[in-house]
Amino acid sequence: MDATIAVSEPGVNVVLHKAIALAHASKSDSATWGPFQVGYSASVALSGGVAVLENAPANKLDLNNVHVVGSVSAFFTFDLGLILPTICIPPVQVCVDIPFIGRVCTPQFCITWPSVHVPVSLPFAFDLSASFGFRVDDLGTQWGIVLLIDPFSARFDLTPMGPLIIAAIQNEVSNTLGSIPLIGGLIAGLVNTVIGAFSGVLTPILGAFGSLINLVLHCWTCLMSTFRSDCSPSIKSRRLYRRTLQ
Amino acid sequence: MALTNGHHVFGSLHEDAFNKFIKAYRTARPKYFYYACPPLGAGTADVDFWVIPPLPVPGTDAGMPISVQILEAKLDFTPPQAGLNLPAPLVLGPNQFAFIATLEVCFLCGSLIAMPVPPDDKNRENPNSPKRRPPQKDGRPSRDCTKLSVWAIGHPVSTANSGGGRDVGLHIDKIIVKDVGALESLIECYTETMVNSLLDSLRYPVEKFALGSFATLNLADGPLIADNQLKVWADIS
Repeated sequence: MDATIAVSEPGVNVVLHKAIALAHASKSDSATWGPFQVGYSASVALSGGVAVLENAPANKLDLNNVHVVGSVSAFFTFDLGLILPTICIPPVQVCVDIPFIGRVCTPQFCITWPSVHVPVSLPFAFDLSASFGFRVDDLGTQWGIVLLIDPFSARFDLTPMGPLIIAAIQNEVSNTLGSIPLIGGLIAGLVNTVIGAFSGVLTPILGAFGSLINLVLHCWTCLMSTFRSDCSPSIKSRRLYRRTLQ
Repeated sequence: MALTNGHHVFGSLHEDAFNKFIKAYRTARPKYFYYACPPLGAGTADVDFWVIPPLPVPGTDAGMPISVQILEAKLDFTPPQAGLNLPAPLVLGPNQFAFIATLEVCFLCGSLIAMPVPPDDKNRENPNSPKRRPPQKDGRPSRDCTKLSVWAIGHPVSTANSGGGRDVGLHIDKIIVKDVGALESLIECYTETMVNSLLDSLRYPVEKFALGSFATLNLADGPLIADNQLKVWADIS
């Protein structure tokens, strides 16, 4: 063996906490789903965490209790006129052509649906634990020790937040429609129409939020997994270990 | 007992790796192993050999071209390998290394190269007199060479570098050159200075030993030679 490099468990923890200190990120995006225009931003910050090196034959790095805190801030803007049917009172307008006077119609009032803007803030917090394997990449002038995230599967699932978003939109639409005279008896049905339209696009919207957060998390895992050194990692006695020079 | 011995990082380089490194360094930077005054020296000056001035010839304003080349160089970290026969009084002790090399020293006999004379040279009785030239040797200049076997022992050192960190390297303590008669002590002094200069250029910053981007490495213990390895311990900050 030409060279030996060993990193102790406390040393790995020092590196871990330096990496976590860098793990503050935010991203934003916007998109249109049907009549709904959605702007959203995600921020994630990591703290804490303890790294434990597992001896052979496990050869693993366990990362425990990394505290993940963040939020998704979003706004939904939509024109109710693109969702709700046209409502006129009375529903039918009768017009007649009168000689020398012209065309005369009965009075009719049609509702002009307003636009609605709904801001939503969705904070989240959870603890992340994962086990990492190792792989060595020959990078030419450097050797890369890559932390393999399998079976790490911290895919962020925002599905439970769906009802909260629907409730916020339902409340805002109800308030907006409630300010329009003469449709009191129709409000419940109109709100249901809007929510019905929104439910059809809720899943892809939540998926986009989740992708944004996972992207932010992925940036950090990339950071963790690009620990590079002039050694290769076979863990023995809680040490990252050696490679023979060519 | 853990290799890291209570520190964050442990690193060691085996003597075999060091010898491979010397060979690679010789390939990449041959001039550190070949010092010559043209027309001696093969290849491109300042690339293939380090240009040195001629050896002054006393009583003249000229010098004789000289070259010194390290033909072979090998390190042996303690404990000694089988077959290592160091001449007395050299003994390879704890935390020491042995250095074995073959040098080739050449003169271009019969060739003289004018050397610059300091403007305040007081050696001449008449400063305006023409330069003195030594009697020219008959015939064409000839390249006369001799090979010297060198044995040395030394120890690892760490020195502060300009980046605020520590460089790890090796330093010769005692050197022996045989079969040079009464010139032995002189040649040993010269060779020790030359080899230590070479080793100084091979010193390596501890900070670059293992980590690059995340953190800074600080030498915590060592360098130490044992088990045929050069060992260092560092903490991450």
